[in-house]
Amino acid sequence: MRGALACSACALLCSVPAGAEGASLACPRCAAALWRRKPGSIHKTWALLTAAAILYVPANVLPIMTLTYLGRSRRDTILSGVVELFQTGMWEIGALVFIASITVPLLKIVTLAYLLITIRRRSSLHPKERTRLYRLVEYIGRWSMIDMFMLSILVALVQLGWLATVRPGPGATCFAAVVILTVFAASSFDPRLIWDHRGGEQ
Amino acid sequence: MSDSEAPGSGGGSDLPQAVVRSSRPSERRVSIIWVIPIVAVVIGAGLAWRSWENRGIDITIEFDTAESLLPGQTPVRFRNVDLGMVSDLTVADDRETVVVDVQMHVSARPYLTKGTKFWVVKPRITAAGVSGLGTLLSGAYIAMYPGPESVKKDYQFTGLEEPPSDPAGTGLALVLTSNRLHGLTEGAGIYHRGIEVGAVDRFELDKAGESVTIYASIPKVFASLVHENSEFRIDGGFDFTASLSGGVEFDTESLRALLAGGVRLDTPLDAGPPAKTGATFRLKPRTHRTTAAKAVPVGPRFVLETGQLNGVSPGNPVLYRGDKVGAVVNYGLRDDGRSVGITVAIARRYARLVRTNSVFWNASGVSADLGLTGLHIHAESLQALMSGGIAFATPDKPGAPAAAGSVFALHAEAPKHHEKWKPRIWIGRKGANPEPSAAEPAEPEKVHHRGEDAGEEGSHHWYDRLLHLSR
Repeated sequence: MRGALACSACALLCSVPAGAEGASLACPRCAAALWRRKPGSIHKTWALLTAAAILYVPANVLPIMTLTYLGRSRRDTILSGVVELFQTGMWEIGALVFIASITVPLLKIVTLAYLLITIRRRSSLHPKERTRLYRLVEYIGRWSMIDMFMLSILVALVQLGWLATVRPGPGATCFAAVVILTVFAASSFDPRLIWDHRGGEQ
Repeated sequence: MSDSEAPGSGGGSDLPQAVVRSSRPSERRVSIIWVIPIVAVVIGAGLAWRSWENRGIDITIEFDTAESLLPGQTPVRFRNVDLGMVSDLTVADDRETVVVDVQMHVSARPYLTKGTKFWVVKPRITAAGVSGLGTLLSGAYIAMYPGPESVKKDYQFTGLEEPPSDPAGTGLALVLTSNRLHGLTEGAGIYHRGIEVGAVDRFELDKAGESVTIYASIPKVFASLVHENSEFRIDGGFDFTASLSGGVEFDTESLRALLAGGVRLDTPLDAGPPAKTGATFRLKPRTHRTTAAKAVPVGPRFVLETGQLNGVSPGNPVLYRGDKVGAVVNYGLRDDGRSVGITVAIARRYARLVRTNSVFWNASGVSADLGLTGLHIHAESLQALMSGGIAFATPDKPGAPAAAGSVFALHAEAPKHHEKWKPRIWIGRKGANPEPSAAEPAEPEKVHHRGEDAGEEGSHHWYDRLLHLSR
């Protein structure tokens, strides 16, 4: 049924009036905006993804926290923290932090970029797998915030004055921005676009 | 969904029809979204610029040993402000030193000049005191002191093994030479009138092993105390004197000087030009302050000439009517051996008592008159009785005040009836002096007044030298 649209808010299926193709539509029941595909989805996703990719560099290069311990202070980036965890034998936690904080954001950026490029190229290859990839990205995104939660707990707890103090660094802000931007990029992406060309050719 | 809603009319289906809001699609937000990556670029560029601007300055410092230095943990501080961090430690190619790589904060750039000093601050416990206790827990750090400004930049330094006592270099750096160390330690104080005015930095044996060179520094505030003719004398440890007259005396400058040793700085009254940094002084051995230096009052000095010393020794009192008004400084045999000269110092307050016609006599010992009336034992004072002393008196009609350096004859016996001489000489405070000021000072020609012994040719030099020696 090509002329019907489902409302994204109340799931009311409604028909598009004749001659109103491309016009701004609203749901007759809940007055939410109706669209065939998320408006500007590709632009939005690209923009947010670009911003995330740019901030991914300072997030990994700059220190995410400064630990001052008995007068000595050390600044840790995400990677140096992972290395430290591995060196002290806590390789399970190190691996978790490495996957959650370094691999996942990078994979999200790469995956979304891949999906966007295949749509741009009007690729009709493996739409099912690509949709599954998208769902994985959307699901996994929230777990990247582990680091930020850890850090906020540390900063709040470790305020022992001269003995030990943890302060967040500029890397933390960038990292949080990367995670938030990728989450938004994933949500602004419309997976139905994957199927468009396949549908068009059929 | 319910059938009752929305009249089904479009597309030939019974679905409710969507409401058309406007005929134009709302695509304008698309361009706004690109603000986000632009902001990200701006933030990223800002952070990159900041980290580029704050990128450290890599310097190297050479030390003899890397003791208590840790890469990534040992900071470099100036006035306890962190300005850098040790990044790496390597042994120098010649294996003689350790090269410490330090990443300095960008704000430290103006301090990295030619004369900048670096040294390691760690807990040090020496006889002179305890320092660096704060580093027990926090670990050692490298302290720095910037060299003079506007000197050309330097990024390779040689660290000092010992903390400099005067890192700014504004004070005086002095060199003392001695044939022995006399128990001095690094950090031993230099005392002037009991106040610490400097410290011994380090010492070394000269190449031939025949003398000791001691490097001392005087901070800027005390630098003016050191003159070219100043005298440095060992004064540490303690002074223990037992004598009949003075009893037992135990004397030390301070507990610190007792442990670490000390050097006394004395400057004569007629101080020479101020000493310059690098000046070399001879470190003199200890003297017993209890017998000589401590007892010598500040005031004009006179020379007494006598045929026989008769037990007079430095520190002996000079008495006027039995009251101590001065002390014997030193004595010396005349060049031709015909007489002995004694230098006495009279306290400035009592200097007026010495007149051109004053008579000095040796008051040592006891004079006993054995006569029909019995035995008369006469002594000036108990101390004079025990250890000797000099007394003087001035006749009823006092002459002009004697000039400093005047020479008198020292008689063996007190003049007859000197107890009855009652000259009126004002010794009160300045300003309360009713004597006409024209009466003093004596003219230079009267300097060499010798009482009944007429002056002899060639003796002037001897007096001068004696006076000079007494300083």
